[in-house]
Amino acid sequence: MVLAYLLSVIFTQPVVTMEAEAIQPVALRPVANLKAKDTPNDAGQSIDLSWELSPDSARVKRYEVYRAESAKGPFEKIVEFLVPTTAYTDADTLLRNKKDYYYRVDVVGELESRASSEIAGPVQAKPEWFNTNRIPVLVFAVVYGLLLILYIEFAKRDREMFVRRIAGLDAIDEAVGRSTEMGKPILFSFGIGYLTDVATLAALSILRRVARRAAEYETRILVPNYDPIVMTAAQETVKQAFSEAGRPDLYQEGDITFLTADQFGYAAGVNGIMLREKPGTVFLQGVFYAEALILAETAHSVGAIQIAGTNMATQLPFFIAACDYTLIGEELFAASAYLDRDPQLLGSLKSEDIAKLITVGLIVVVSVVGTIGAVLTSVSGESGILRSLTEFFNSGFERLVSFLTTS
Amino acid sequence: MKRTLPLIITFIAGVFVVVTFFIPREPFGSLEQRMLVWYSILGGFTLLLGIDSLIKHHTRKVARREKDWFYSLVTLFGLFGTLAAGIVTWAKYGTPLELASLNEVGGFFWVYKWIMVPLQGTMFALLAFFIASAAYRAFRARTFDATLLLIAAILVMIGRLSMGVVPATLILAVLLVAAGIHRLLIRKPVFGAVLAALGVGLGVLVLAFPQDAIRLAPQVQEWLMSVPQTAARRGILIGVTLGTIAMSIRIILGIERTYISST
Repeated sequence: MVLAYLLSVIFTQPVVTMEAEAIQPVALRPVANLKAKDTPNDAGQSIDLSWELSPDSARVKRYEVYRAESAKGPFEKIVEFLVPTTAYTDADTLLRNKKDYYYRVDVVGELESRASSEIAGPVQAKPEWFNTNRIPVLVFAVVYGLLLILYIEFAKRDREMFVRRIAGLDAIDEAVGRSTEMGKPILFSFGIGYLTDVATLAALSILRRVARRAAEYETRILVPNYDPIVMTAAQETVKQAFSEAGRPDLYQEGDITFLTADQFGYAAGVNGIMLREKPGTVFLQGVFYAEALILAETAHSVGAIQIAGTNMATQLPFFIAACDYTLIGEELFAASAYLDRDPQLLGSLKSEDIAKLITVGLIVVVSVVGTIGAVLTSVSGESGILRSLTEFFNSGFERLVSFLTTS
Repeated sequence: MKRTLPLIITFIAGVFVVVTFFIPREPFGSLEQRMLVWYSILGGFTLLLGIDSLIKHHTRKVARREKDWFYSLVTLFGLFGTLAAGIVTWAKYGTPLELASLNEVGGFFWVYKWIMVPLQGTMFALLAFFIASAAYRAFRARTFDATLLLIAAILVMIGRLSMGVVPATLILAVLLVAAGIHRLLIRKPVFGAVLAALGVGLGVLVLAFPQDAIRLAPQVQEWLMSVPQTAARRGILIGVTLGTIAMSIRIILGIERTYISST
């Protein structure tokens, strides 16, 4: 009997203790330093929250964020996180501007044991009148605007403006002449851009020049379009160019048509026109994506001279490989200034070059500062002048990179 | 006036959008997006212009039996056929965008799935062949630049090929020697000799130090892609960005007017 009692004490005691431990929830410590502030540089209706993790974060199963309109509550749960989190932006559409809000973050552990943080607030969401993150853009725009005005004034005063030769633009007249000699039409494609694309607008100025020459040489010009608005603009441009050349009678609206608003449908349509009409010259100017090489290679296969131009960096290698002449990026935007030789346009082109020079200069400065910082980091100790210099260069590098990337 | 009014509207709209770029507060903050919505709505209406142009052009070709009029007939059949499929689906389900029409012959989505998608896929697949033919023309070592391009392309391919660095490099060496001999035959002795020497040197090196070649090839490929390629690409991007800003300012200020008709 005694033996049985002793055995029961020995074998049952630990089990009872373990169950007791499992049932008792272990107290958690809450998140610390909860801060709530209006989200900067926004349209309002947004509050940023930040906090430090609970010292018991290893045992925390989830974090719950609560919001209330009064410090006394009632608090409403707005979000929960199953992974350790230290920040949240409350951008609930129900949030009202200039109204007090209070926040609390709860940590929840085993058996729903929980610990609430201190209440943060009152805090108000406010809309801003100026986005300070965009100050570098403003600085750049002002500097660039001043340069633009300055160089336009220089141009107006008949100062000589040197513009380097752009082979693709010089070849326009020759290409139109070639089509005329061969008795074949000219094909002009804007790609799949819209009129809101700057590249399409730039291409329109090239079309004007091409159409004018085509009218002078009495050569037919075909412009299949992807976008109806671009088609309308192209019709107007060609019509005007034909009038300027004194040959409005040659203008045929039916040659400037809408094909389709489908990318590969458009590529198939333009290819079909190329294979049937066998143009002597093909202009591919504007916005192009995967259809770029399909069009360029088909134009090559029918023996057309090709002058391409786009601002799409991914398609430029294809054009360079497949076409006779390619306007690379900015050359396309320089077309109107280059072709018209208008002093104001040339002045703006020159200011663009100066802005580019400034950008390159900034990149060089950033590279030098970054390199010096990296070298000093590897050789400097914990203190002394070298350490201060290292910090100076490293922080300068970070600021410059931030400025450039924001711009 | 016909020319001045659009310029005034452009200036006001342009300046307004630029100013609102710096103001996050509503209604300014979302103005750019709202204007894009307006553009989309206008675009929807202009589609009618496009369809009008398409129908006129192809109907005329069919009516006059112009050259290749049959293709115009196919285009018109495609246009009206798709329209009919949309109307039938609409009549049946109350919307042309009913997914159930995917499995019904002649349904709107059936037309999309079984006609549009394969046609688009076919056009896209053609790109592979066009890349091959364009690469052949671009990589012919006719000039110094093209030769550099050829060498860079082959180095990148060697670093990425799964067949292994040594066989790929040997193929490159043979190609270079062949190109060199060809240049020698067409009486370009210096260029030919350089190419042939390069090929022989590369072949000998890879056979003498195969382990180093295996180690270095991926590094060379990585360097080519991340240094010269990225630098050139960024240079183009900076130029494009500045060009876009300059063009935009020219348009806003009315300096650039070539896109406006005066007739």
